[in-house]
Amino acid sequence: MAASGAIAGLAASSLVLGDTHAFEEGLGRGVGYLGVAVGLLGRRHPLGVVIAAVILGFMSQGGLLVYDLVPKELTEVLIGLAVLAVAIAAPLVARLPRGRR
Amino acid sequence: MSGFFAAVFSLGFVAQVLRISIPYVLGALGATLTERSGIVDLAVEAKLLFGGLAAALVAYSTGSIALGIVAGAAAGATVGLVQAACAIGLRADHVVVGVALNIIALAGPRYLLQVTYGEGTSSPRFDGTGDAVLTNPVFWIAVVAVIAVPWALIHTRAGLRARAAGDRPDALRAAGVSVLRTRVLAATVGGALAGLGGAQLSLSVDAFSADMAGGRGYMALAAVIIASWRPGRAAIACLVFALAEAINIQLQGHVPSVPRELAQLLPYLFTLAVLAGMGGGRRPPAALGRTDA
Repeated sequence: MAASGAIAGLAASSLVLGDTHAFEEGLGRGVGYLGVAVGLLGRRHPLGVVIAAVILGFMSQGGLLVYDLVPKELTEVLIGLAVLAVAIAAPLVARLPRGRR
Repeated sequence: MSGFFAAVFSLGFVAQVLRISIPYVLGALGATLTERSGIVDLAVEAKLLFGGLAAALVAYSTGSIALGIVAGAAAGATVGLVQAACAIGLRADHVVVGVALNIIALAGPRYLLQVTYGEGTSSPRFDGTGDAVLTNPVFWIAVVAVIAVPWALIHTRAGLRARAAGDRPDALRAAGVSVLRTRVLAATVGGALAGLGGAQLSLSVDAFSADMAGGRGYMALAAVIIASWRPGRAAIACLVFALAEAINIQLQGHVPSVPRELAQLLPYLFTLAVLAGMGGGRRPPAALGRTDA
């Protein structure tokens, strides 16, 4: 747990050192939450987590690009729906016979 | 400092504690029902938010607080139904479903408000229930629920079935009762209770705002765990949370030398301390969170 805390701390330090250059209140707002989503989307597998993080990063940044057309809240709803979809799909895939996975 | 003690030892302070406790108590009772039937209830926050949103929008458009309360319960029940359908019907991981619903509940209402009223964070204002406690119908619903939920869990057939679904689903199935149906029912009723808690949040301040749950759903679940899944004790834990929050408010008002941020930490530090102090002895429902049962 200490190691996992250290890794999460690294995430915020990259924000502070690379982007904002200062500590601000509400700095990590939403990131921690989405971090849980990433972990779950990646099905708790290190490689899966990296893939999920890139996909979520793509969705968030893509959401900013189309902000004029689509409110960013809808992007977040979409991320929630994606997590839900993966949760529902996982047991269905597990039940498929070997050859058809 | 004397002003602080005068404020704390007053009837108004008692009313304040009771008022603050309402969403916690209703959320915790709902979570108790859901969890006792075997579903991990991480979506209390989502039920509070959608309950609060529905209550505010209906109270605003109809001018009726009663209809707002009904809408809040219905919205919470709907979230509970979706949660049970995913977690039990489709055997999705309970924790993931809860987190997903909470993510949707943080952003979904903002989107709906943006589209409907062009104002992204709060609903239009209406005449709500205000600060009153004894004339607030949601308070009395909470009082009835505090008595009825523990009683129903032990003394009614539906309560027995819900507990069996959480502890021994195989026994329930052998008795010829559908585990799926029992859990869906428990999650729906539990969701309605949490939705009522959300209705209290928005009806008491005359508007819904997208961040108004503020982690109360997680606190309510913590209360359930502290109470070892017993509804009466969970309600007492919620009263203690509300006490810590009310003391924090009075500290800020009367003792400016205590930093605001430090005082705001009080309820959470308290929860952590109680959780840590009560270490062992908690017994969750035996089949809680299992997707194979």
